[in-house]
Amino acid sequence: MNVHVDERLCKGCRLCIAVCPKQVLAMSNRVNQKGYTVAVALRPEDCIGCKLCEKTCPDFAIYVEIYHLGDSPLSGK
Amino acid sequence: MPRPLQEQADPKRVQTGVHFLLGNYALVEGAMSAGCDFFAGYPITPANEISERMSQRLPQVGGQFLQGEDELASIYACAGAALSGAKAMTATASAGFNYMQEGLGYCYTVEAPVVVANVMRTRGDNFATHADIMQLRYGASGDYEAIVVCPSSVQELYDYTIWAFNLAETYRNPVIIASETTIALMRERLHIPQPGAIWLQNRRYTEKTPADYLPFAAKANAAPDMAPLAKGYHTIYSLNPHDEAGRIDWDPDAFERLYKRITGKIRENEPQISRVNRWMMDDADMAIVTYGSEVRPAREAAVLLREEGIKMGVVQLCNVWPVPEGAIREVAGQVGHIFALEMNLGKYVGEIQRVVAGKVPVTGLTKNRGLVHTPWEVVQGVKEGVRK
Amino acid sequence: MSEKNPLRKYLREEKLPHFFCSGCGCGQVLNYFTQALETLQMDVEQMLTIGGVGCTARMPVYLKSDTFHGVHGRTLAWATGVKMHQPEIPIVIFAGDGDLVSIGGNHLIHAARRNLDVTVIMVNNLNFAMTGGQVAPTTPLGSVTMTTPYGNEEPAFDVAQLAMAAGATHVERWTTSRPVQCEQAIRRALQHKGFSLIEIVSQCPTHFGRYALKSGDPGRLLKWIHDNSYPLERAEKMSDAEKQGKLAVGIFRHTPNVQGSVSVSQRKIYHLGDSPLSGKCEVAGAAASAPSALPYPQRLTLSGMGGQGIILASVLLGTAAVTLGGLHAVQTQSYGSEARGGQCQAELIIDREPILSPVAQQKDLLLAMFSEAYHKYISALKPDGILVYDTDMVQPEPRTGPTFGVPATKTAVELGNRLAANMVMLGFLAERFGIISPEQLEQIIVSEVDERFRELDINAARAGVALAKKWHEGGE
Repeated sequence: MNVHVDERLCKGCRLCIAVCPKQVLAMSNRVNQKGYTVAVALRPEDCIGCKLCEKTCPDFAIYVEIYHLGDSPLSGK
Repeated sequence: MPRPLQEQADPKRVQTGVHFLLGNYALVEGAMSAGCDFFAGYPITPANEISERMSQRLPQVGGQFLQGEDELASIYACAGAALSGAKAMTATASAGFNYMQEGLGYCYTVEAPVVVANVMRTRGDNFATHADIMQLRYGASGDYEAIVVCPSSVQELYDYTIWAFNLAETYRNPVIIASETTIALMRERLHIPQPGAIWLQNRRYTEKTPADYLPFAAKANAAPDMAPLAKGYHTIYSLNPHDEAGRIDWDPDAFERLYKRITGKIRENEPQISRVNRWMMDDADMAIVTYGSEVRPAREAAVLLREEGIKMGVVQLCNVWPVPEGAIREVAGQVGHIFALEMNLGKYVGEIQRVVAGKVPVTGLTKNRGLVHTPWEVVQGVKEGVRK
Repeated sequence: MSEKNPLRKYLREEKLPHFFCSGCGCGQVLNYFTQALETLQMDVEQMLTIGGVGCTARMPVYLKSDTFHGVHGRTLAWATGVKMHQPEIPIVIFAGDGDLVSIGGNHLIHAARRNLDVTVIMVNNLNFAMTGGQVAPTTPLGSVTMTTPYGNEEPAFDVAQLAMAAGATHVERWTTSRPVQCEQAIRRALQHKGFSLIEIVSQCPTHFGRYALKSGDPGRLLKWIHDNSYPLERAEKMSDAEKQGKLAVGIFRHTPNVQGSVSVSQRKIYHLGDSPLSGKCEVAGAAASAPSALPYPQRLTLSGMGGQGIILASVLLGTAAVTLGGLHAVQTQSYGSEARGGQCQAELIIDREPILSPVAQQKDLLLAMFSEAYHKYISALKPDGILVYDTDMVQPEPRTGPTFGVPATKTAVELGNRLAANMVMLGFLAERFGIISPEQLEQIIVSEVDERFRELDINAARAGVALAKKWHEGGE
């Protein structure tokens, strides 16, 4: 899984952190242009693709990219 | 399918012939001839006959009638219907008109063509008045221009309603029919012409694609082209100040452009909009300038005055807003004294004085007794005014 | 591969980031809504979304649809107008609790009563948020808000119950803490034919959260909302104390596809005659004018008691004069308490030329069918004007002008109904004075009077004509 956080849109509300069952997300120490401290996918390797963060985010800032077997020509069988 | 820009009235809607009809009914027939296909109203005396007849007539031609739960529901339903393509009308009386101010303000700002029939009557009861003449213009907050037509007879209730719809469509502006309890509840001879003699104006729809369409862009002093609703034009119709694209972010320049245009489209076109009827004016030394049901006693008074050697003429303002400035100035250039006749403590007389700007004396003949002036009261008032 | 949330395609992307506060439930509901659109593959550009005023009201402004916005509390009134004119346009309303239930309360119950085919998503953040956190009709009892600094003393609406009582056919309540249920609920609403209300209780970290719940942390507030709500199914097993102060969530009502009254897609065309009230507007051709024994203009007052058919008489006279006689006429009448059981009068001016003032001081003819009316209007009759009175109802003072006593009521009673006295009078007036001819009178009775009374009225008119003929030939 690839967990993308659009830092331009994130408002640091931490709801994604609250709902994630695997503690993938955390607050970064970066502040965006609007002055919000933004979230970051700290442990994307633990992501199980439930997309709760993506569905919960009030700002459309998160996209969980789920790779499927066969997506990449290099995919291992 | 959008209607053509100009078309003749639909024969299925027009009851051609000579009638003896109630004023309120004549207004309805005017709306039917004009192509009205949506009406929403709330019960109020003396406008009830309008709603009642609309509820019978509209379904006969596939139009929609709503008795709104209150006046706000009515004006806002009209706004929604108009923005979705309908020729919409509501009807109320003075007390109910109060409730419609914000709704009117919304229509002015998003340029929704809605016709509002307001049967003016005194507070609390059904007597005659012109006391609301300024509210018709200034009732809603914000910057806008009102178009208000003032019929003086049952025939004009029919004719001016068609005029009102045409004005609303041309300028994408609400138009108010200032009816009055006097003429609304009077029965008079009404001539409804052949449908081929009735010409209707319809709003222009854009030919642009959604990508190029700017909902509130228009030539200076003109109405913008409309787009059909929910067909991909994703337009925001917001009461908030907006720019040509409909965006409601705050920008003082966009704010100024918007309000200059929506007022300019009426102000700058006033000579095309305004109509006056000049009666016995060819050789007149003096003129009564008036509107609505007061035109009738004014004319009879002019006849009586002429019998006494006073050459009085009558100028009927068919619309009071926008102020027919050119026509009033012309009168001031012709006569030596103007009498402004109205049923209130003196409101529109101020507008006439403003336009005349001291060129000739303007005497107000005003009263607020719940009754129209009698011709003899007018004669008396003129004589007193002349003496002074 | 894109790294953007793909649901942004439903939004006006150039307006992002949106203006909602950090952690605001409105943003979440917007997300749930786009999720529902995606699942249903609905085209947002073919919808109308509506927002009033407030935080929630701003939600549709971010959607790439046609939007009405900016007036507080009137979303459903707008929607009603659109639905009636273009019933096939899907309409979604985003309304806050204040907009929908406080100022908009009246429109809510009527739209529900009409089962208007719209989807209303009410984001209930338990206060008026945009204006700074004032108490709303949904604020829980005891809450501290900007206008209840000592704690709210008014109970809150249960908006789901309110909508159901008013007739809504699809009502659900969920919370922002339940994204899956919210998305499913919105989907059901978008597919439902009829009025759908989806209430979503939502956190307001900036106002209600801080004032009432002492926390501005969205996660904490979300937990509070979740903990203070319980699924409907569990309600039976819970004690009253357990339910106290909490909101039930679930599907309250989902009556499938009951056709809304206001959004019928097949519109019936009604024909003249379908309604017993249908106004008649059939018009006789304008014929040659009736030869009149009287000069024009004629200024008449018809007066009597409420119930004697004075108004009808004046209307028939005027109608005949105009539509059959080719004349001009103006009719005005008294209204109000004066016209019920008390005096009743109508004034009629008939002339060959258009009539200037519709009000005449001095009358040429007074018809008096009741004593009080006679006394009230006799002074306005010219001294040499014509008085016509009902001999059973009026005892006139002696006068110099032409005076005619007509036993109209007596004649009508003989014919079977005292209410036809007005027609006897009209017959008399027509024959004696020729304002309209007796033939024109009969013609107008046939075209204007309800068929139940037509025969009686024609007979009464003929009786009046006969009385007038007797008068000619020697009179009383």
